[in-house]
Amino acid sequence: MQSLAAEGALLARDSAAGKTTAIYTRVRSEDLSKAASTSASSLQTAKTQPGLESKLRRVASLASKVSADLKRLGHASKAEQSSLARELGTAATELGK
Amino acid sequence: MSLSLKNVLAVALGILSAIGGFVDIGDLVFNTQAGAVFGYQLLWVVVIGVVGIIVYSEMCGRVAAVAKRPVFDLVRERMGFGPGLATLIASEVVNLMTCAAEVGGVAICLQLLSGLPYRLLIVLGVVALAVASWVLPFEWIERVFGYLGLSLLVFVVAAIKLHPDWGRVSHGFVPGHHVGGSLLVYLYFVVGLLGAAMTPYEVYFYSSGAVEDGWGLKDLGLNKVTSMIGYGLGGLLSFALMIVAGALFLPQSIDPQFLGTPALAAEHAFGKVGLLLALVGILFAVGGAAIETSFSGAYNTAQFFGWRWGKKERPAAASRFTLSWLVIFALAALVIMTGYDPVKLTEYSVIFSVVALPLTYLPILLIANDRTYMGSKVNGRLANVLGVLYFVVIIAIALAAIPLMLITNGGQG
Repeated sequence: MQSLAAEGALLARDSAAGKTTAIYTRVRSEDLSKAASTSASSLQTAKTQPGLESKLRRVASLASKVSADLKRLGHASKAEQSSLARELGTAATELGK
Repeated sequence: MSLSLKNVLAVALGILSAIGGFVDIGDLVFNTQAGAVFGYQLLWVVVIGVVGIIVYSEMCGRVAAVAKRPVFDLVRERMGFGPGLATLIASEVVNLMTCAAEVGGVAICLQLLSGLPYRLLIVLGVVALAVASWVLPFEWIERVFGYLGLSLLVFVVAAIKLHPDWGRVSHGFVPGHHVGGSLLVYLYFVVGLLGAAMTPYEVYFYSSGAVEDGWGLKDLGLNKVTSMIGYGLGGLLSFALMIVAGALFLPQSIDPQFLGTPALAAEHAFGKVGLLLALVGILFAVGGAAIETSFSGAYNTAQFFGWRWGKKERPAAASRFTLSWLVIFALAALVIMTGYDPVKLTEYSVIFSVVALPLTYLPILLIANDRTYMGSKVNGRLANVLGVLYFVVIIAIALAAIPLMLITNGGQG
């Protein structure tokens, strides 16, 4: 999930900078979003030890947000892409902790 | 144009197509994943793999030039029906898996370029590959896919533009203690990188191609130069893929699980032009490899059963051969239409090809040493030392491949 968020952040940054084609951004963000959505669903139904439940909920919530951000990325304007790049970058850092 | 200049041009063209045709989906997947996990620490494995494919391709080309028969033809004659059949089955399974992965790779590249639906592009891609294979003469298949595959050189320039730590890069060429990741995952990538560099279909295709091109004793020099320089420089592309992954993906914790991810590195370095060059390069590299795997499968079957074979034959004259490569394309398309992830399939095909490596390389080593077929052109001391050394390595990685894949969950740790 951290990798998906980090790749999405890089894609969003480069897309906002006009370095990618619209088709590449759309297709790649859809791929990443699908993979993130699958992981997010697994995390939402996952069980863990009582002490780790709050952490799991936080990760599951972040995963859902990453999935939604990646879905938006494919059709976002340049300004939105910059903002998504920041959000996905922050999520990648959070997920790495 | 003088004859010597023509020869130089022929050699240069052969080398160029070998460089462009070196990289396939296995190299793309394993080199970028290895770079993203271990940085530059596994560059030494690429060197070993490239030298290995040079050693055995040179033997295959020499056997074809001297005996005028491709390797698989001699495998059955030299080793008998049973071991020959085992080799045929193993190579066909690996060929089909690899061809399916390459066809999936073609569809992914077309999708990243056009935005059309993936499954439609599988059908269009496989039809285009079959038409190209049917219509184009053998040397033009090599040239078109080899030359357009040279667009992958954008990764070499990107590797420089991304300013890697060259000190660390140079350390990567020396095997040593690894940093980061587990030892088992490190070993899994060692096995995968060697398997990707020494894929069996490459030597079968090279050998049959040499017979198709009508190589004789006068072409032994061309064989040496093409295999050494072509594969050697082709290895540059593998280095470049690992270096860009180590410089760009590793620091950002990006694990390239998609075929489209490596193109991001070329795009990051050079914008849209870099992206398009990378996608076109990958498209023709995996497209060329799809043709090579389907032909390799058809060559092996036809040569084993003694059918008439060859791209230079009219399709109707070599009907069973023609039908074989068409069936392999069709089966590959069906496999990938099921929705199976081409990257995952690539990982499996490379690991299974490693298991089948001894069945491919032992007969080559034996035949290249057999004076009945080779006369005075049997292996020299260097070829034998390297051949035996590599065979020991091949046995070791063949035994370790599947356990490592299971223990490390396909390199995921």
